[in-house]
Amino acid sequence: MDRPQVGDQLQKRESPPRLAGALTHAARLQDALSGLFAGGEDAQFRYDQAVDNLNRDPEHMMVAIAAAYGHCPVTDYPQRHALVAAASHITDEGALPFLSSVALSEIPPEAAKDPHSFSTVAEETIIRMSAVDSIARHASRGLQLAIDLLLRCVESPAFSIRRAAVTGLMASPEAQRLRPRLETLIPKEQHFIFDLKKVSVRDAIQVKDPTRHLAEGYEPFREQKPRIRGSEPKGDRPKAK
Amino acid sequence: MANCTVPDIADKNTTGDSLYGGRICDQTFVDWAWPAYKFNSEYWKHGFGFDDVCNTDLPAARTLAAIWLLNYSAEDYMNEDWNNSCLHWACRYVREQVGDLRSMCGDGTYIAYTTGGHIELYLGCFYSKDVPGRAETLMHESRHQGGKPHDATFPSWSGFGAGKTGADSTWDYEGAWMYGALYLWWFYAEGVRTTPAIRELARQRAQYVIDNAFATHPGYVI
Repeated sequence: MDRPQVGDQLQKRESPPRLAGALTHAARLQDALSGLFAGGEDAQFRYDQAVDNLNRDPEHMMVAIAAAYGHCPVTDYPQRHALVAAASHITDEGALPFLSSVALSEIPPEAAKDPHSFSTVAEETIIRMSAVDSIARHASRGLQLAIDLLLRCVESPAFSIRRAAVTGLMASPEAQRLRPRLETLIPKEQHFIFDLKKVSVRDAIQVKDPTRHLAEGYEPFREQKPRIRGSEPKGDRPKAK
Repeated sequence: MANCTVPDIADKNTTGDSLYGGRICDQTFVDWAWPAYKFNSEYWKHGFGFDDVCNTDLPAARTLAAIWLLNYSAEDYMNEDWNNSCLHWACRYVREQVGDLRSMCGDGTYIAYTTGGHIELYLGCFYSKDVPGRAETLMHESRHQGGKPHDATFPSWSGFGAGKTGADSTWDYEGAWMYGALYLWWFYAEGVRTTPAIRELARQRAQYVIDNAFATHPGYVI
């Protein structure tokens, strides 16, 4: 007699292709995205090459990025974030219209049933935070358009976007001049934003003693983890090849 | 028993699954990680990847990718000393907290849930989070397994919903949010065998948690 199934059943299905279409620079953009996320011994080379490619013809590349972003399914947060990351590597100020359109776009209402576990607002905000940080890099060079865009971001209803914009403005050459204006734009109870500090993780408060927080009666696993290399399978474990 | 279907899969370059997927496809690693992280094999069959463990379309490979990241992102990755940084001991903490790791469909409400000595991971964990995000989920849930519930409501500015339960009061409370954010922060700052783009994903995710998940803002900008 067959044993009854324990656990659920997961079915496969085919995923649609990404960045499809006849966009002028779509193939170069796809290459650049692969390079930005590449691993291996030549990772740095591929990363540098990707950044060079993105900057070689910034105007057309921005068209490709904006088109790909527009075609992305809303819920494909990793791809949308990657496209903003690609735009953030473009040093030409021609990236600003796209970055600002992302940063200033309205965040759709929470679609997750339990945002504590997974939040669509969090994913949407994270994408915009990256866009704001990229605008801030232009603002740090004193670019007025970037500073003006950050000032608009300060009025975002999302705290993290507001915080990122203030951080960017306070790091710009205009910081001193802008501070009084920023104080009027930020609600009083959130003026702690001005006290937030960029710190190294080494200077942050660490877990005092992680062993205090182990579950009662836990059993340490005695077998040491393998060093990074390949080898042969054991009988009762899933096969890696 | 529930039935579910693999959802649309995000570009595996951008989630880190291409990078880490190649690394987990190593029999020595699988042989060690499977019992070390107490995968309950019965819950990883029937399409969840037990029989196709290198397939990064499936939950088993996607979970192993997060476990690889936890274990090998410190330069001196064999050093798991509790006195060292969270980047070193997080893999050990998760390993020693998880009692029984299960993969399930879920009903869309949660992406992970810690209950009765086991950790259940649902489709949202495998398919809506990038690899560092999955590692954060394992840290977060392990902290709950260690007996630390959330103790506050989200502040007025929080994107998680002002006034809702599920926040940690402070960074010093050393709750699940702090554990997850601290790990991501270390990974961003000093993680190796990864890429600048994946580290950046971790930075933004950690900053979002710092900004929104504590009743009192911890005061940090990464």
